[in-house]
Amino acid sequence: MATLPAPCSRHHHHRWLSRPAGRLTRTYASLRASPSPTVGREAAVARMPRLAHRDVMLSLAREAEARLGARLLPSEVPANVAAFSDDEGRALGSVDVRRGAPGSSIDFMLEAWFHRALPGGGAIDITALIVFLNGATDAPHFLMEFIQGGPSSLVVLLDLFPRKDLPLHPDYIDTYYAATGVDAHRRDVHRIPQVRPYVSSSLLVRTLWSPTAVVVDVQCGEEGGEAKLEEIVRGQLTTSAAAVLDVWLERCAGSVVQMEAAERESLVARDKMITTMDVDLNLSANLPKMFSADVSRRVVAEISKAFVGS
Amino acid sequence: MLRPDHCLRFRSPPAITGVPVPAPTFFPALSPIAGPRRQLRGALRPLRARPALLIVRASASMDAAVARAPEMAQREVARALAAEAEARLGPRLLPSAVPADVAEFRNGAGNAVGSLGVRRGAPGSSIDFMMQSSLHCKVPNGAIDITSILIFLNASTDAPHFLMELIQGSPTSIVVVLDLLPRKDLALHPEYLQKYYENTQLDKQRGKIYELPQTRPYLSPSLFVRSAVSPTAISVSIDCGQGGESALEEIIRGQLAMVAKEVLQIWLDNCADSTTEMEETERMCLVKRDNTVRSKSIEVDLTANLPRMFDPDVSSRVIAEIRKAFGVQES
Repeated sequence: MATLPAPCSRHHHHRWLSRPAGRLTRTYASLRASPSPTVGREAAVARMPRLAHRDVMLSLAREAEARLGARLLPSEVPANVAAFSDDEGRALGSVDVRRGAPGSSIDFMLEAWFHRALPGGGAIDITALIVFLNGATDAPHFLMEFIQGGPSSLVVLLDLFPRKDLPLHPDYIDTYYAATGVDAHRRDVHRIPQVRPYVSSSLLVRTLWSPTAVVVDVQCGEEGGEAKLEEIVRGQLTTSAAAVLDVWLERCAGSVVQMEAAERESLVARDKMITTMDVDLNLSANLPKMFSADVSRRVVAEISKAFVGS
Repeated sequence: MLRPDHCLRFRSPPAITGVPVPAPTFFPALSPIAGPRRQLRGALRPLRARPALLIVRASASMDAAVARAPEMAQREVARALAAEAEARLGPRLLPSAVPADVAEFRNGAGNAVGSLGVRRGAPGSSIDFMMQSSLHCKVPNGAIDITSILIFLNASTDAPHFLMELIQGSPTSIVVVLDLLPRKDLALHPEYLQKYYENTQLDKQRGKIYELPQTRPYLSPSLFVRSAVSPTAISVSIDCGQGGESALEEIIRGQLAMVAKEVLQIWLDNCADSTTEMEETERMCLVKRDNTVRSKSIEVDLTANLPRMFDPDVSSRVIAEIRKAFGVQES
């Protein structure tokens, strides 16, 4: 759910979410040879300026892939979405989608890596790792995103993304949020002095987070801020993010939950509604602010196609 | 809706003797207050201008036989708010039917006093009930004061409920929760979000509190409570630091009172009167959600607090009255 700010000083974040397929089987008729995702990702990221948050995300993405193993199908994303550039290399991106294997609880894993050098100097760097589950389980999705608008500040989003109306389902809160102890990681992040809550200007976005979500803005200031931010990113943020991913891999990724058909339908419909709304409003609106219309269209189309599942 | 564990150290009611107390206690260790005198909530009471209101023991009533919670800025603000709500709601609220020994109650050791007011909605109105409560408990290093107002709507409308809760563990800091509690899954009902939260500009009110330098966000220890509040909820702790008694009082009487009044106005204007056509399944879902929110708020808030402050017979009596108002089944 990359929140793509307008390339101006005021953050104007929206989250884009994609529509999950909701089907457990895939056809392989359209399978075409594509670069393995790790080659695409590693090569694409290597072209971007070195950033601590990208290093962290690389290790998390590799961990997720390793642990999910055969539950993820090979990537079907065309090469020009796995790695793309624009504006003579001032905008660089990589998007990959790997669908869940038949029988697994995984719907898809999405990674998005964006770097956009700004005309006046500076850059915007956005990195997202999202793993959506399907109707075989009601467990939360995994969402992680870094949005860096400068060398000394960073927005961090990290959540086990809920799939039910929580006040109506207190057991869901107990199972996935209380019993997993995941709030401890949120508390750890909030102990960092430079961290403060990030409050989206969109009320809708505010409602979607879990009660244990890390939704923060890390502001390290001008003096020595760059070094301080790097220390925080490589330190506590790495620890906490890895811990949350671990909780998710252990308690959510492999889960299978018996549900009444009506319950499953409403779960999947809720997933769809959220992602449709957000991808229409946000991804399509904001990606063109970083990349040309052609590139944006291609990337959005690939993501939407993958998520709609056709 | 809150457990003030984060800033307060509850003990079972401590013995008064041996604890250095700066002023004489004014809670005589007598049996529960007899008679319905001096209701703390409900009718307007003249406010007494008193400079050192936050030094609670200095504001002792001259009538030592009637123990009641001390005058404090938080109580005055809450009282004014409740009076405003009751005036606007008028005949839509029935008179209180709370028995006298729940309307005002205290603990045997004499260091905690409370009051509870419940007024049910009149037949045909959208109001389910209006509940006010006020608790005061002396603890070894000071006192805890909790004041709350909760106005629940019934199933003839889907409009949000009104909640305000003030928890004060010291003269220099307070936790404030002020919200219009949503009754629908906001992710699935953007029109609900728009109608009650965006069009009403509630977020501006939230901003006025959050921009105060002494505030920081307050997250309930209960994950359930965190999930139940709206995206425009005010949930903060305001800490004025050592020596900040008058600064806090100024904030409570000033910015906080103003914002609370505004939020209540928004609620009175947009929610209190409303009725909503609903499909039966929609209504059932709404009722179920309301029941879950209420039982979880009782469970979290009062089951923990009241028995810590009051004797078992008193707290169970009070909790029973609350459950009756909420219509929660005894489990």
